Amino acid sequence: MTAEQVFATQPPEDGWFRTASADGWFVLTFGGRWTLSSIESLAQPVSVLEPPAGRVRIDLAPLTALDTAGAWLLFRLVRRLRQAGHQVHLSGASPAQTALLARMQNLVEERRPLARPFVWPIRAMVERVGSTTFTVFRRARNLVTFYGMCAVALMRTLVRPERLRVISLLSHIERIGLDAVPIVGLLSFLIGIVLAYQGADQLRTYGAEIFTVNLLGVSVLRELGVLLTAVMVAGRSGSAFTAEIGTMLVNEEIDAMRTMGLDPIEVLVLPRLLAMMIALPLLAFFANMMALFGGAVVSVVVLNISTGQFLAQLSSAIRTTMFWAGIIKAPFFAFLIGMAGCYEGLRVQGGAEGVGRQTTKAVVESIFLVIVADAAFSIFFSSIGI
Amino acid sequence: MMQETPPVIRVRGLVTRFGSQVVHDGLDLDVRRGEILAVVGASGTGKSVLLRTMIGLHRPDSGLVEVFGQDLWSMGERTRREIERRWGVLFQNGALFSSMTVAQNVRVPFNEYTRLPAKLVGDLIRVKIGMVGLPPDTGAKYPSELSGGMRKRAALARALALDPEVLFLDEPTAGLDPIAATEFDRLIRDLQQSLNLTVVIVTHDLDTLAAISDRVAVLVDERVVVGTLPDLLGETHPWIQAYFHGPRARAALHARETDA
Repeated sequence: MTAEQVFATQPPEDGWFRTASADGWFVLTFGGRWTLSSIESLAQPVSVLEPPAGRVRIDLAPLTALDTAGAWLLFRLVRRLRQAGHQVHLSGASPAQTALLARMQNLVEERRPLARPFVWPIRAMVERVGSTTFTVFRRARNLVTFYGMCAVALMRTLVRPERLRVISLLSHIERIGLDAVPIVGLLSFLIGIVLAYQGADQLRTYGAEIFTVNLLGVSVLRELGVLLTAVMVAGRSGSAFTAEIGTMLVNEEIDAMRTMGLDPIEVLVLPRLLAMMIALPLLAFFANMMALFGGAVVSVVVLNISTGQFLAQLSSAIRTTMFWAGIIKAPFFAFLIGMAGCYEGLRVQGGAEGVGRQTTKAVVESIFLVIVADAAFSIFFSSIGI
Repeated sequence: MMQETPPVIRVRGLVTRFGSQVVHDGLDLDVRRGEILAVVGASGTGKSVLLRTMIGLHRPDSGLVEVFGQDLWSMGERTRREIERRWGVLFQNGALFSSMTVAQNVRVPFNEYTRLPAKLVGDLIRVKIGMVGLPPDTGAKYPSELSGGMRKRAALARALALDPEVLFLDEPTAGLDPIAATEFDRLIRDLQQSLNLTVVIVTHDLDTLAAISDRVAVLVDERVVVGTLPDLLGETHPWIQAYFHGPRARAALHARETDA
């Protein structure tokens, strides 16, 4: 034997191989543990092995452990040597090791990319713009279809009111309205306080502190009460609509419903939508009262306006139409929030992940729609002179 | 099976309770090196909980769980990590990370535990994906683009990524058609033999039981009765009798005899 060389890994991995020449054979002996942890250091020396032309014998008898990683390294070496024209002879492998090596042999050799094919950024952008355009039109069409389906279901219910799911409707009213009373009440109360403080600060400069009451009354009743309530309800209940309906869709409950002849719009969407349209105006009214109460507390305690003065000023500042101009918006906002929530819920794709994505979308959409609608109302009211 | 080597997993006096409901009461179980142990039992007898206890996802109310000779619940963070590297788990629905492609899923354990050159890792990922019988282009696909059977195979590839010594399978053949299930059984058997794996399978599938298990642990009366299939056929416990002598069991066992 001549020119013996040994490569060994650092303990504790202890995998090694030895090269030697004997009787015209180039002998490679593999020993120790050829596992994932030891090939980290064996991969490099193995890949640069260049035996002299001729026959190569690989002796695996001293191997104590071989896993897929080790087997892959060994297999790659054998393949490389065979391609380079060597005659390779394997010996000393246990049956299990032979089976493992055979498994490597059977694997498809084709080198398919593990990542998605690369697309030029410009082309990708054009494709994105195109597909987004299509998506927008498709969504507009779907939305119109959905509104149509809801209208049909609503008409059916009006014609035959016994079809309305009363218990479901009441339970939704409780969840949207009653359960939201503490949070909506507290928030409105605090907003009333904030408004009174800020208003008083500015108006004091002109000695017109008493007009804080006008500011409070008009802004709360016309805008803030209903708007804040709508935003709160969109976050609280609109999102819940999407999550509930979306989860049912993922669980195939909605498909099950359809096969039993139940209309998901009638069973799921209508009760939620109607409940929202009933609960939101009530909540908005409550929010108005709480905000005025918050403002009154500040006026009486901090601004030294007496309760009587506050009430007198308030009744002179506001008119009934003002109150109605605020509260009339509530059912419209409710309709938008409920529709967005239910629509997005029915559009969930994929699993739980899709429910989350759609829920976020529903909340953003409904708040957006509410504010757009509010602006439209402002223009409309001012044009008819309210 | 060699009796002298210490068991890979040793469970002693395991007690699991959910509220007032006792699921395991003084359960003892050994998993021996290199065996395929099937865990069976009626629904609600705590098969999956037992598996989750063995891999440290569920803390038992009392009792000892030793993995590779070390107490799972008193070991330090480092030992725990080393042990976690030595086992692979296939969850019932695959539990592939849905935001990653199959190849990225299989890459996760490599990134977490090894510092191999990227090209070699790529090769090894291809090897694993091929080993579980998936076509090579599966690597670039997302889990949502795969069928149930393919997802299971992809999840198996991830479980096998680091060549674990122990493989835990939770209902691997549930939801697969009989042909795919048989193939999956054969795959597990092949891998177990060529990689010398220790396999723990929670299953309802009598065919799996008959085809590949070395021993069977039956959960009855909050404990386990362990034995080879012939042992269990002679058991007198009424549930075990009903399980192994029902029409389905007879068909599966008959198939096993004609196979052999």
